[in-house]
Amino acid sequence: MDKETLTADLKRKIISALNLPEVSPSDIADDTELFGESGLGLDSVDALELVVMVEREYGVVISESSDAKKIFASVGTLADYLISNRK
Amino acid sequence: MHFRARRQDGLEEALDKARWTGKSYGGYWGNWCFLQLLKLGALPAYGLLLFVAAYFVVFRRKACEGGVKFLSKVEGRKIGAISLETYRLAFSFGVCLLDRAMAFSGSKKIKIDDECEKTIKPILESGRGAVVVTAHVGGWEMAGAELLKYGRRVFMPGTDGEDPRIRKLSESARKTKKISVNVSGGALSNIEAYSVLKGGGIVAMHADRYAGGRFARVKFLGEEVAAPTAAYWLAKAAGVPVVQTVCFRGKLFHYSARAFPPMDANLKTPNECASEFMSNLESAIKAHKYQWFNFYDFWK
Repeated sequence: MDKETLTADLKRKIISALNLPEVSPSDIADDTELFGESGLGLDSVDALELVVMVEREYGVVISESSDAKKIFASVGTLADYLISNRK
Repeated sequence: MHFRARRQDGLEEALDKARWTGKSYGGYWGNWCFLQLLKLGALPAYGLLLFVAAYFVVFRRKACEGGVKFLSKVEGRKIGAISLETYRLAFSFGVCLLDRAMAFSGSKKIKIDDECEKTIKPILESGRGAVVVTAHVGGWEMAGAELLKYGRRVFMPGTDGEDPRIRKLSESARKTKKISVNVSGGALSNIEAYSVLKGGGIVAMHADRYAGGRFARVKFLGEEVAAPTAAYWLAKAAGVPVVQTVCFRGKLFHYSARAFPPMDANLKTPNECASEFMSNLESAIKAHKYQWFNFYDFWK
């Protein structure tokens, strides 16, 4: 799966896993911040659900919160991480 | 672009209510005096506490306000700011702090009957992790230290508003092992906790005080409070049970820690778990009303 396809797939799965019916994939740019005040504004429970979704859907385990900050900065950074770490 | 997708209704109001500072009362020299007296024994320190508790009730009424409101609710009648009940609560709080200092300095005088082991050990032996939730009551910190005996990784998220000088003073007197509190906070703080649970470890947290994030509105002593739900979301994601524990002082130097039946966070919603937690806490605290140590207005 190339990065463009993966980011599109991720956007759909994030919306579904986090139950965000008011958000559409086109609302999320590749560099939109997932957490924090200037982006999607997701919270700590969303972070948890994202980790579970990534584990289930892509088979990639993210366990360190220090790494997670970079990985979950945006859909783009998450896609980069998955491309380099997918089995 | 800013969706603020997770702006829960009433969040601002709930956050406004989370007002405690996490700072000890008494100041550096007050804490220092008690630690010196403890070197002579528990009774001299308890003796000084008789007067210090009275001082707080009479002259530091603001510090006792939250306790007075709690006592009025639990007693179902108005309790005076200067009253025997308020004094008993202040004194009892001091005794638990002194006992904690003794226990952590390595004194064998403080005994804890840990009945939680019967509930927690089988869960861990089955290869699963556990979320252990408690409240700021009785000897909660001493009971928390008991979790180290299982030889599993223990992750404790929390806040640290303590005066650095008092923290240093407490640490210098400590001789026993300590669970380090993870104060990183932030939206991604749950990820490490999740990893600990998936590895068969323990995540220990308070579930009484709301400090931000998702919450449930539940009844506690007849009025609604915002109860944090992070513990239950975490347990649900990791597929582990939630064990609610309480630890109360009984006879002199004796504490008893017990666990409620485990909650299955996959069968209940986080709001239902929060409601069960507060209901269990209400029944426990009614029997130990002078061991409630949330000294801020829980219901404001």
